[in-house]
Amino acid sequence: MPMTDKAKHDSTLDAAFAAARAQQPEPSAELMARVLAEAEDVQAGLARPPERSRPKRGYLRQFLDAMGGWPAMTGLAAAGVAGVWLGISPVVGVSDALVNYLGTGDTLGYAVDVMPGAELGLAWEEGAL
Amino acid sequence: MQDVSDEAMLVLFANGDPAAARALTLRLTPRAFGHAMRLLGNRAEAEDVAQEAMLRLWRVAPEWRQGEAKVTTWLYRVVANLCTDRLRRSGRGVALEAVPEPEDDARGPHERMQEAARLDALQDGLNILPERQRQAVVLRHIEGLSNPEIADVMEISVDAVESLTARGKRALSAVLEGRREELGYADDR
Repeated sequence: MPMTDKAKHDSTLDAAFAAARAQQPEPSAELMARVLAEAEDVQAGLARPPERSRPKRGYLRQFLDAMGGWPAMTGLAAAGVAGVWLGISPVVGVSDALVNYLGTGDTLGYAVDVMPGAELGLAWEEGAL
Repeated sequence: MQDVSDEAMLVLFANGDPAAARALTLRLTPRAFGHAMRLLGNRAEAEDVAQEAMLRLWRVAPEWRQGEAKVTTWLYRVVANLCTDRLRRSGRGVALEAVPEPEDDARGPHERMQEAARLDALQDGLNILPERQRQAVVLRHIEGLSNPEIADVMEISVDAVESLTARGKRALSAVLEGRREELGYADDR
């Protein structure tokens, strides 16, 4: 009985697959040696105790270290507070005459001077200083 | 060592057994290389892929969980992914280099040449298949995996595997049939 086309195709393909199965491409000896060398390297690494790595430091920690640690930060904070205090408290040592000319009173420190220096110039001209 | 499964061998490897490293290298490198060779059609590239896949296996060994996956399934998957990456990166199909034929053969020169020509023709046919079809056909008909195993490797359903292999075989069949006389298949019966 003659073979059908499909059977003929299948048998051709099956023969080709069988040939391919029978002749698997062989890796070279060099490849085998490279693979084994890497296996031994990795294995040696697995046997070694893990290195103690320093814990990862956060940005705040790194910033603090760069600034000199907490003592430096307390100094910086004290300087900031002192600056604020100086800004809002009456300045000791400013000429009493100037204080008298500008007027006394608790509100002076909080007045908004829209023309800074104008009154000082006036006082100078009037010989108050 | 020969009776020990790949999975148990990998645990021995992770525990530092040097014999396990040798046994796994001998057992699995030819499979990784053979699969890469069928998918890429290029010996040098297939060697690179096999080496990289084996290196990944060594590195994953300490975390390998017994009973979760077969080592060969994992390896075929890694090899196929590496091959796909290479083919996509280079923007080409597979190379046209033929699978080299062995020379230690008792057959006459004519038979050897014919066999080599048939293997070349098969590789040529595989080379023109779409990647997934090629992979499914190679795993099924050359590596000899079952459809469920291939489904595991390719992470698709068994139905999809059947569809891929059927289409791949049809395309291959057409290629080989066109060269039937040239390859001497007509003389075989």
